[in-house]
Amino acid sequence: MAEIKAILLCSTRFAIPALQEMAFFNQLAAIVVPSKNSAMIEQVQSVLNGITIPIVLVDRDNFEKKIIQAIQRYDINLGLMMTFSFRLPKSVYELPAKGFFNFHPSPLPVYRGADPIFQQIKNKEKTAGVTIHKLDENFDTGAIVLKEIIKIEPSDTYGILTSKLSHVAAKIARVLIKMISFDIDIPSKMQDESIASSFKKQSAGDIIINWKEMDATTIIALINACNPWNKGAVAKLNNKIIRLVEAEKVGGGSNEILIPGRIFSISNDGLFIATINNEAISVNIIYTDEGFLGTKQFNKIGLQAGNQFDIL
Amino acid sequence: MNIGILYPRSKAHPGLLPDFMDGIKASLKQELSEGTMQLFSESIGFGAAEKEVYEKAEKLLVLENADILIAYIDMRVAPILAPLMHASGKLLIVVNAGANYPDNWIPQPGTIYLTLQHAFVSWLTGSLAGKMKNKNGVFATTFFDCGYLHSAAMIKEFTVTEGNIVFNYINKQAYDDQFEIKQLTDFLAANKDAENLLCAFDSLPASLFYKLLSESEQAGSLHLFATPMMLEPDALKDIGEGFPFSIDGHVPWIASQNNDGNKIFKEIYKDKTKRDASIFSLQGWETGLVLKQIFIDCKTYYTDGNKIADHLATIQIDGPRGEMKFDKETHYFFAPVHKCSLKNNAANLESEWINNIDDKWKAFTAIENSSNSAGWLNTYLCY
Repeated sequence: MAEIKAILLCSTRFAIPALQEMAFFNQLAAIVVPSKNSAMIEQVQSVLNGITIPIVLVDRDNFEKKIIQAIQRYDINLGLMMTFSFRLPKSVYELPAKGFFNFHPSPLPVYRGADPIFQQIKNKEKTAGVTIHKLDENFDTGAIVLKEIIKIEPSDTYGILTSKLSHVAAKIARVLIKMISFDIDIPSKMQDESIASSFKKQSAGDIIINWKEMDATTIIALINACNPWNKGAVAKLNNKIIRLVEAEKVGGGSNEILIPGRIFSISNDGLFIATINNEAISVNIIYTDEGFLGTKQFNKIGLQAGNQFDIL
Repeated sequence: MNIGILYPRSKAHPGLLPDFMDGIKASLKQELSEGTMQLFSESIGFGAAEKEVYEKAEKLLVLENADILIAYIDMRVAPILAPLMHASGKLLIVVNAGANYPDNWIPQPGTIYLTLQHAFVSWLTGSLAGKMKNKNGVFATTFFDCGYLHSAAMIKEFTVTEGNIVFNYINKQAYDDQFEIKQLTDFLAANKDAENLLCAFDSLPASLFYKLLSESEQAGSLHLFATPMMLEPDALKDIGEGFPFSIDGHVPWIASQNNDGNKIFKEIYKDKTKRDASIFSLQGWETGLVLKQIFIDCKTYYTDGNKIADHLATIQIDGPRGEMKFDKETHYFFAPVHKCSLKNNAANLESEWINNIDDKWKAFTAIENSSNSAGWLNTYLCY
């Protein structure tokens, strides 16, 4: 069995279960984290908990040089990337003898791009996935080695799905590492460009609830896609930003046609807001300048039935 | 159509290999004689050497140009073939006893499963045990058997239906005169209210278990809930005039099943091999039925695993087990099962054929399985 000495490039907690497992099995020789990502650095240090694996801190100006140095210094034979901020040049990804592989949190070739977890939830996909592909000169376009698909539950938030996918990543990393340790030439297949899709990193406009156009299911998907990283999807009421953190679809509760964005009831059961198609959502948690608020606190910031969310 | 087969061997079940292979050949008799299908096969031992499984699969796909790969392997070994199958785009049919089940039922591209549904029927049996008035249960198994999720399926469903496991007995793996169950019988003697025994044994240890349990003084008050191999003829070979205890369980197939699909299977198999049909020849026969269906319906795309899987979702195969359906939500075939009962001191196994199994199968595959994992890599029954 060939010895595995891997370098892992990571920027988010998507990498943590795989990192933990590889560290435990002594397969990690170095970890690379962007120097500005102090939360990730802390998380990696905490996970390693005494295991001595060098953490290489890089930024946009020096990452190429520092990763090459690390590969040479620690005698790395395998490169793994799990959501990393910088595009690797050929000089880096061709260096490890056993190859360099990216773990992308979508079933490629669909959902290429910076934050596929957000996009998959927002777009109400029924399934998500993790794909391992070989690195090439572009983002997320290399030949596919392996992918695993999982179900997206309607209640899955960005945070929950990230956790699920991170465990899938650890699981399929195990398969990849096993194959490499067996000295198997890793088979791969070019991505089918005819079905490929690509998404840019979401902008401010992508996280705002459009009461005029979004139905209840779409709003809930957006809320889930923004939880926890944005503390919910953004809505505006009387010039006050209110982020909706957790909500569920409910019946309209009335034969009367309600105006989308109108709060028609407020109680300990939730904040009931009308949506298009005479549907409604019940919001259970919001985030405002006053903090995270549950149903019993909604009235303390002046929310009441009849309030109308702004159409942005 | 070139068919690659990764076949197993089993010391415990020497008939597994010949029966499985002969089952396929009997099923594909016409196609093989006409030359429209060709079989290429490689041995993979007990199925636990993943590197060997990979290399043999690669050989079949690359050198023999297999259009479809049949692998008698455990679900836990199948992922090692995933990159190879993805790169080739071809169909992988994983065949096994179904003693394990996945933590993620979402189908993975190009892979389908044809099993004996052992975990599923054990889950049904767990449900049966949970319906007993006495909610206390003892779990008895062997070191080998408890490494597969049929045990978890049975216990999980028993506890969901308010059952309570009060004692676990795991026998060491010595299937000879060293086999003993003293700790278990001591516990049962001291705890007379523990009447329900949930058991997971392969057929050989099951026969030894039955023998020793029959000799215990509390045997007459015991009610056993058994995994399917415990209801196989080999397990019950020493039944004589009957056991003092009663047994309930479910099995995927019984030889005496009277449906046309089973009659044809037994007749042709016997004619070709001069041997009686077994669960392993059944698996071979069913594999052949699936291949025939693919050959007939998917002529223009039988090298495209994803397309074939899509097509299978639209058909039913009338086989020895009855109407075998392909569940497009999981990529597993499922078929009717039998509920079996053996009363105290009775030598005849009574059975009831449960044809309408769809809802039960759906419920089984909806269960979250993130907390259970199986221990062994070798295919269940291959050791």
